[in-house]
Amino acid sequence: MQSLNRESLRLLMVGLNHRTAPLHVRETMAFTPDQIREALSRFKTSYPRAESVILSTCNRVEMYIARPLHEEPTPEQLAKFMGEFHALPSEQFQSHLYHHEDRAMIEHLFRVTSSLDSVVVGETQILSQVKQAYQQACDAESVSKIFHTLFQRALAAAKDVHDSTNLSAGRLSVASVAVDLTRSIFDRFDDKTVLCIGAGKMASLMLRHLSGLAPRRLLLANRSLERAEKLAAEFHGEAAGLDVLDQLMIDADIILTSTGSADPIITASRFKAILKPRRYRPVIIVDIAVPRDVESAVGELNNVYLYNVDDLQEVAAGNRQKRDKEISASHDRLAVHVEEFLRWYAARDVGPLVKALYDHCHAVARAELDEYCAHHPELNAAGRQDLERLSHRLISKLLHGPVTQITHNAEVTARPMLASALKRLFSLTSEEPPEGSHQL
Amino acid sequence: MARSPVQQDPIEYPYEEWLNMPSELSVQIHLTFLASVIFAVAFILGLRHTRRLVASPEGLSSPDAGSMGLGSRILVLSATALCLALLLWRVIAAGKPSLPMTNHLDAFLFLSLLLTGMLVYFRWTRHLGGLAFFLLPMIAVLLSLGATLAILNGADYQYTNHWARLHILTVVAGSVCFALGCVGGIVYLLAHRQLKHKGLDASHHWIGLPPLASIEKFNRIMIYLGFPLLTVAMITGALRLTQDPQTLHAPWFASPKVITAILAWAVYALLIHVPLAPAIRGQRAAWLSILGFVLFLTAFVAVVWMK
Repeated sequence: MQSLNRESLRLLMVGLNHRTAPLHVRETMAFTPDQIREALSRFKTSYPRAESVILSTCNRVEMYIARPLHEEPTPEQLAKFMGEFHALPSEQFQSHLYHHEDRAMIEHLFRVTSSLDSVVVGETQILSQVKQAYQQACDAESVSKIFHTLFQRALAAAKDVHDSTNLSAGRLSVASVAVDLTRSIFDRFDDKTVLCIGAGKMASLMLRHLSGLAPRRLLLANRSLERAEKLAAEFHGEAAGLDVLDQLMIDADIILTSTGSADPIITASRFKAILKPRRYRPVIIVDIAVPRDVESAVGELNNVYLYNVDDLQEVAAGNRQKRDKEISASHDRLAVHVEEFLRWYAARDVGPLVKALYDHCHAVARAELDEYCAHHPELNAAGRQDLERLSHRLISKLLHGPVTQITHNAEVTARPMLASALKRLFSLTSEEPPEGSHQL
Repeated sequence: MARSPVQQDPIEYPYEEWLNMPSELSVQIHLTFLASVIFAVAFILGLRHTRRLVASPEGLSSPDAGSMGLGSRILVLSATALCLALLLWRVIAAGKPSLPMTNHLDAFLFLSLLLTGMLVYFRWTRHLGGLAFFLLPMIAVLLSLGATLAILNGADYQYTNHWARLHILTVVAGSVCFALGCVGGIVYLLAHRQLKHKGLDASHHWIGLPPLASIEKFNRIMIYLGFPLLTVAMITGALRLTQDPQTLHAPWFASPKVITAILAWAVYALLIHVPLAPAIRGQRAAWLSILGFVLFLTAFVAVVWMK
């Protein structure tokens, strides 16, 4: 793709997310990986001088672009492009769209990547989704230096925020808390048996998490054998009726209960009777049924660890509170990364101006030197070289301070002013003023 | 300091003669106490470090949560260097290039260094990290015990025959296994308590406690390693007695050393049968490994009362 370096750019994004658009709108606007490839290709054909990345997840659809300042597309054209790609009339999605430019766009991307804009703050899936979106854009050759740097820094910033603030610490769902507890008791699972009593939705959800532990056996017991078999087929388990529950509990190391029974199905006396045939092996019982399936006295038995839904929810709520406390610190941390990027971006923007300044000074010096040599024919080649070196040194020393100020030291917001002053003072004629910086 | 592997009339340093003790040994005892204090302070600092992490919203589940903190680590390294220097001093003072194992000070210094080595191993491999943390007070206690015993009864071990040498060796080797088993038992009980009492808000991980199954497995290995050593120590002790019946200064059945050693052996014998008697696995086995080590230690140091 054509290089945009040394040009003032407009950074722009248009999109919708879980807060601005209902699920059916997000579904219609979402891009599959193939569609992303196709869309990036079409976009490049329409706007060859623009960089573009499409981020499409279940909660957001966003298109990020960087294009020369006074060129197209505008946010409206970008929205139109997205609508036309999906063959959707604009009224179906227009009101759900938001757009950000320049600094706001950079901040938004950094927030999104760090999951501060996610449904579940602190989730790490968005990090890999942004990475994937960036990778797809790289494969489609629709990114260049600005977006390479922007997305790489956004990903690095997100990692830093997660590492330094514990934004993603602790589990937030009952199921994942249960899995963590199981890991606190057992060190391996390839020799363990999971027993699930009940075949409802919650049981299915919990099993999805527990099956991630790759246990040796998965047993499903339910009053209706047919439903147990259905669930067993889904998770490659073995189905059984409740009539053999005692035998199943003897075999199990992890027991999950989620039945609709009004009375406890595992009483202390019932479980105590199977402790010996179990050879007193440790067992974790996760009771997510309401009303409870397991008598609380079962938890007092030796080597039995019982948790009900309240226990698990308490942990999840505690973790959620801790994450909330981390949000402010994460924003502060992120702001540092945004400023760093802006400094780089602004320095890159004043680059042509600095080059023009040096060129101008060297041109003046060369002209003066030529005139001096014309008036002093006795000056030999060695003498001219000495004078050239002297002028170079003088220019370098004189310009070093102001150039360092404008590229490194000055506040990002002060740079455009300094750049403008420099241009006026030295009558510099770089092809474009660094107006893009004003937007930042 | 005069020292001989075979010494019929050992020099004794009764408590009231503490000030008259040879200056070299006196300094070594003081330094051993100092090392013990440093280990104890390292434990307290480590505990404070982890408590700070617990108190703050951040850090509970961070990779740093199981760490002991920089101050604690520096102190552990300093105390370890001190113990090593003390042991080297004892080697040089003994005048022969072999491990000094002439009295309780040597034995406990050596034992503490072996445990420190295990601590470093646990922390380095991050395997059973929580155990490392609890080794610190154990090492501090053992060092203090060694130094105290050297004051109460500084008598050199009496290597009257080869059985005596093998006896001491197996006792020291066994004590490493049982000390680790004891620490494992404490950690198991702590983890068990947290899981039973549903102190679940990540507190289970605040000192990097490993899963219960891992601790149980580790304890079993330590008992399996330690029990044969203890058995050999008992047999060699008995053989030593047959050759030198005066060692105990009392009939064997009235000797506190023999009685506590037999009790410790019985506890460990019960523990190695956990697979056959699973009713004692878990919490009970953890208590037994602590009790076993206390008995074993008592038998080890019972020489104080053998006068």
